[in-house]
Amino acid sequence: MSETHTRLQVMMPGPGPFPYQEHLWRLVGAHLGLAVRFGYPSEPAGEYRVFCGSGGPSLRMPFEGGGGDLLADGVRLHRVRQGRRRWKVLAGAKGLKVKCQGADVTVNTDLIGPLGWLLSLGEEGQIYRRDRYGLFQGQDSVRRRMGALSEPIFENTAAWIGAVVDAPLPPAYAREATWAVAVSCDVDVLGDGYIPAVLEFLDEHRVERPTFMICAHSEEEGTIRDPSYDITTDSASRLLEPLRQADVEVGLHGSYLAHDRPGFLMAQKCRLEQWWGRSVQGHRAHFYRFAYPRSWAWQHRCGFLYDASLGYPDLPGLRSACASPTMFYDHERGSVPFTVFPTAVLDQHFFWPTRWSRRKFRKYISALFKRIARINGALLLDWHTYTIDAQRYRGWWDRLDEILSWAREAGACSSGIGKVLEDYRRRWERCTVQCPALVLGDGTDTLDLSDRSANNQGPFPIVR
Amino acid sequence: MPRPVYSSKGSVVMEKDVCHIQSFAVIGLPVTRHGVSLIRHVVEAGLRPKFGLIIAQRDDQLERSSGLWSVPEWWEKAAEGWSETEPASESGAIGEDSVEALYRVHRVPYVFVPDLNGQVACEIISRGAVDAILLAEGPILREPILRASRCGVVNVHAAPLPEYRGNHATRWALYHDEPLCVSAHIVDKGIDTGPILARQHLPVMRTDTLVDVDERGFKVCGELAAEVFAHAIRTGVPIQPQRPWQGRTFKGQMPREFIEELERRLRDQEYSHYE
Repeated sequence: MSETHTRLQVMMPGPGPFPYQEHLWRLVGAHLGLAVRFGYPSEPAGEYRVFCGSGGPSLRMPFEGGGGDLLADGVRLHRVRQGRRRWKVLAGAKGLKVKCQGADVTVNTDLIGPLGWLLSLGEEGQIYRRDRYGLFQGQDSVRRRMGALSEPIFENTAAWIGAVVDAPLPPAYAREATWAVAVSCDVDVLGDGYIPAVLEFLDEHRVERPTFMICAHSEEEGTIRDPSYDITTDSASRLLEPLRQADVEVGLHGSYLAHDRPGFLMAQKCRLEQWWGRSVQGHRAHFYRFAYPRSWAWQHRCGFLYDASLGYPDLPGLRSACASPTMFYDHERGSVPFTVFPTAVLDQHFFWPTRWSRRKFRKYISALFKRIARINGALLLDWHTYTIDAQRYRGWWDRLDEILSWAREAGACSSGIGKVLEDYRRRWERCTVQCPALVLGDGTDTLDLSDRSANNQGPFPIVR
Repeated sequence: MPRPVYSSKGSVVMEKDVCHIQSFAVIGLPVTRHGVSLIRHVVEAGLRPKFGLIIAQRDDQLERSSGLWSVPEWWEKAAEGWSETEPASESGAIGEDSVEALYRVHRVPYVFVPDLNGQVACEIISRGAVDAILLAEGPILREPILRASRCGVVNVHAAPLPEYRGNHATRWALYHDEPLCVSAHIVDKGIDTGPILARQHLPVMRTDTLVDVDERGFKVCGELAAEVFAHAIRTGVPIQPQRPWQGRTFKGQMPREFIEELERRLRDQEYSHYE
């Protein structure tokens, strides 16, 4: 790939500013392994113009805002194709039409706005059921009615844009694996032998640095919904000791109320770091309790680097329609070094409230793997350590055994969350740091698109 | 003395981080359980409003009051000659939720005004030179009245701020299974987005129904109002600004099915934070 083909050139729809849209394009660029260079016309153009490097096929797409005005009942899933490949993307109710002129493509609707709507949980903002115990159930999602609860719409859109502008998806993860499975275990109950058995299981499956989410709340910070162990006691410390001896990553399993209380979060992080003796970077809220955007904003301000709370308690699925880590956009601070990695599959999904048959489980996982592998995504799993007690939780870890075995056969690498995020952050930094916005001369310079006159109305003056 | 400074977007930024007052007025609806609880607690705590402004419901109320609108310092003589037993208005409509009746019992001077955002109300407040205004339930306030006193308008919202803004926020917090509290804040142009003065825990008991929680909410709001104004007069109250992203604004009515679910959850004692 030439140097110019390491850049996604995005001509924004006007002089700007477009901070959130730029963030979304950078996320697309990071998924494609491309730095994004922005250009700004001096007058509102009303559309994005995108191409890769200094030439080649281009994409024109109208700009319709940040997706904030989309309605949950007004979005539709559409199929797009490029060559022989097809993807499912999300657009507004007016429908999606794709027009090809030679290698150049024009669409009639904004596909970036809906990405913002998905990543900022726009759907949930319109569905008050999110506030039921602070949970949002997959069964309440409009995407469930579309049959798209497990569809990685963000990556599909990025992959399609990449295919249009001739930027194939790069291998994204360690050992040149194209996709990854991240394994995390919530430590809700401490019992004799749970942790050693879990470590042995994960070692057999060669899961590199698996992640363990440990509670660290005090009695005052806890509720009747919280695990009852106290990390500062000798008995808890003794049962958790094998984790300190093993090569694992430890994150905070924030207490029931901590998702909305920075004081609790900070105290629990400090308590866990004191026990662990190392920095704690990751977080997952107990019960997946979550409030957008403040839970992430507080976690970022408390020094966490990622959150894995975004999941459904009742069904497997992708709560932000995203099957890979993405950087959080803080409404006060812009793009911040805080990563959101949604949890797609939880052990209880297959056993509670109804037990899935093995056939249904296998069919679902097989389809999910195909979806994630074709967009070079990452699948985050969440198993509770206490369910390794096979007498009380028959079959719960057999399911994980099958998932990890099938994933290995399908070419995925398996690790903890931290390892997957290391790969992602490297890509993000490469894609963003080296690529400042176009600022040329005295402001009268033009971005040379003349070799692609079929695609352009004329050169754009660069205004900043 | 702090002074609210309004940003271009209407949010309040205080010059100092403490709200310190000497005098205050009360404005609001004529019939309101929430408002009556606020006023009663404040007055019974020995804190006397300089005067009250009540939004008129009928023409005769305006006719009775309009003569006072332009009278300087009308509040000094307004309560003279009142009898606590006489009906407050010609219709005699005195109920336990009547602000007018409460004012008469406690001999707080009051006057009816057409609305709170209009010129009449603003001029009376400005002429009264009060440091702060207590909002005893009312419409969304706009800039003239928000700027009419030195420290602005204080509202007591029956839910945790900044997290739960807007309508039926107590019930939404309950639905969210959060510990309840009520919050006193300075009103700005947004909905419950102004700087926070104080919060007070709102306990929920195992035997409570939704009505019980609402009733206790009125009481705790009143207690907090009295506490905040007492502190603001004695020592000043620290001000904690809110950020827009720190909360969610609930609009419209809570759907009936949600209310029924809440009632069932309280009946089944499913709340996580009982006293």
